[in-house]
Amino acid sequence: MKLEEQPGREDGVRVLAGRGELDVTAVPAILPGVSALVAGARAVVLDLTELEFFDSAGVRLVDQLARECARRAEPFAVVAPTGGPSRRVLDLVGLSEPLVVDDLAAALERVQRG
Amino acid sequence: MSAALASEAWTEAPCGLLTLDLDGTVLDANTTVLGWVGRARTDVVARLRLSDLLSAGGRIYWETHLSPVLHVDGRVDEVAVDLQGPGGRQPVLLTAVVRPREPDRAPLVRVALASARERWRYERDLLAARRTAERSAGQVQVLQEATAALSRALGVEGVARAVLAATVGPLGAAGARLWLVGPDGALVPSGVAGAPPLPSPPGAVSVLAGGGGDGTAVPGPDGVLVPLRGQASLQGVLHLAARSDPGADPLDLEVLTAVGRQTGLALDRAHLYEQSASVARELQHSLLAVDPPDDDRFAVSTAYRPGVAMLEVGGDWYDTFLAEDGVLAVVVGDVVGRGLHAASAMGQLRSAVRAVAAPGVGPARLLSRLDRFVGPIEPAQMATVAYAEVDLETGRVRYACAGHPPPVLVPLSGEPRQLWEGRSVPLGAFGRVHERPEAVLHLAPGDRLLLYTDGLFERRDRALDAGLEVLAAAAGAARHLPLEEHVAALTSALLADEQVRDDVCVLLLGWPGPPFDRELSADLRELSAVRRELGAWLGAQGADEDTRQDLVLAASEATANAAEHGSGGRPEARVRVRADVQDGDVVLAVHDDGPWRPPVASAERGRGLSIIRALVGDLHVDQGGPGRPGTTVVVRRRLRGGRP
Repeated sequence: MKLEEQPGREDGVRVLAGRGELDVTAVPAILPGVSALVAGARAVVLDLTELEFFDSAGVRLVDQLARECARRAEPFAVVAPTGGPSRRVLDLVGLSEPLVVDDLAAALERVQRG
Repeated sequence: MSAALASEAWTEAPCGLLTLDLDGTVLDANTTVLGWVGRARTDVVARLRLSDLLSAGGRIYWETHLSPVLHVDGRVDEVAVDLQGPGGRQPVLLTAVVRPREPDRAPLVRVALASARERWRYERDLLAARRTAERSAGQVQVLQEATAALSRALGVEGVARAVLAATVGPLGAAGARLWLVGPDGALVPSGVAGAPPLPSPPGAVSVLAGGGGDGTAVPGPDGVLVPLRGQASLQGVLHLAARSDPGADPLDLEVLTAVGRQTGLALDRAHLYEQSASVARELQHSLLAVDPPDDDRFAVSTAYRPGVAMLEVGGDWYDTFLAEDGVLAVVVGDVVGRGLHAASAMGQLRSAVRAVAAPGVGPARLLSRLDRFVGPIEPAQMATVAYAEVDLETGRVRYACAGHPPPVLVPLSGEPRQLWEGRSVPLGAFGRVHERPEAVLHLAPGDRLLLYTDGLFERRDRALDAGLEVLAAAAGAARHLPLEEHVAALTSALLADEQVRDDVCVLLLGWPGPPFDRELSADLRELSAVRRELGAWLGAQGADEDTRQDLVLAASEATANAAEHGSGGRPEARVRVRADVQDGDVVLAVHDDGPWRPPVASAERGRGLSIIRALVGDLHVDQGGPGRPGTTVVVRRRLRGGRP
């Protein structure tokens, strides 16, 4: 599991796509690099559409990304489609309301609006 | 003969004698004629002509027909005419001859009149009798039509429909209103036909119909009231309206009385029939309503659909019981025939299967022993049975079919398969083999086994093989549904297209396999694999998709917690994940060897626990005790039924 940056974007929005399983065995390896992941972006979108598994470790990653972006004043949004594994957990911990949208287009619109 | 005697013979002859002139003037008449016409000789002789003595019709006949014939032929024979007398007409047979008189005198006509009164009366009676016969033939036909319709009718409702149809049909009424005696003995409106008479209060109907006393139809308001009397009591009243159009025959009280009687008896029979049908239904219902053994290692869903004539009960049955400890027997059978006999034979056979099944017997020998059992029980002969024994620990199935359609294996993944092995002839069939065969099959967790009776797939317009293929395809299409919905989908897919003539039994067995039990090392290398295995296991138990996702997530969180706090820095520490189904709940237990620590050290652990709690609603931490080291997190959630 890793986060891959969607290449070729010219609008300065950094889209990080998560694939596979974002769990307790994967997240600890990613957390130290959170700052580097978002540095220099105009805005950041975490796209969890393709994710197969997501748990409280994933929640921690989303939380860290949100904090880091806020610190850098970069708009941040999470794509977690309704019915998918990540949305369920984000709903349960109450993170959906400010951050989560259903698809990438909505996320881009949100972060570009500022 | 002397002249005096001859004269007396002429005068008092027991027939009328006349002598006429050629123009018909009466020259002489004897006393018999004068008596018939009620006139004195002096009023008649030389004063009147014969035609004056006849009825109007006779006069015309005489003048236009008889007189000319007499002139031409010289005689007429046995012509029926009526004399007009004081007491009415005197029918006579007239014979007349022209006799020449002496050469110098004109010819005379000699007339003899024989009374035809008796003969006329006889003929009139004959005619009346013929009319009566014709009328009663009509009545008989009406009665036959009505009786035939009544005898074809099934049940009280059928009789009511038949008699109402007859009123506006053969009975020739404008319409009718039917009252039937209800459970409390009062008359209840039970239907109308055509243009019925105005409704009267039931009490009035009852009184007007004479309380059904002697069962005779009586004229009533607007038509006729017909009591419908059964053997013992009044069953109802039929109130008919007469037709008012010209030319309509009046309602025939005799016929209506007879039809009323027939209807009363038909209602008697219908009540008896419904009673015995409900006895048979009750019997069948009670035999099928036995709960399967209480054991979470399997699930069974069944369906029974009676045939199209719902009053007819068939001999299909299903059953589940423990043949021995840990071995479940599933049975579906079909006794030939219908009605109470078939249902009671089914009951005997069903009990026999339970009685014969025992450790070490097995399907083949069980069927052979049933052969001996059905020998003397005629309705049970040629019954067909599919019998399977399932080892609830291993999923090994032994099965055998006596003349029964093949069971279908519906795997969790893959195509359904008809089980054509282990087949032999129906029970008690002539020329049966001594050794019946049986076959073996291995279920994988989540596989289902379908047993059914032929009504499920047999259609008159479809070859059997085609029907079996449709059945297997339908069974496969619905295999991801929960067991009950699987059965419902199957029956509605196969039985929707037509009214089912035969009754249908369906039994679907689900085998979820053994409980889940997996150990993994505290470094959680295998966590992803355990999640996949648990997900597959939950699928095999029939968990719905939400439940599967949530429980896998809960197990993953609990395992991560256990690994973190239980390992105590020991790489060799293990975490054990177990799950089984209890009373329709999945019970998931995650165990580690470490002592319980409240989740304060790590916000993430706390978040993990709160997620678990939100997912399952029911979270319990067993902190161990003396001789029971370690910590177990136990969660419980319904296997199906969505999120709490």
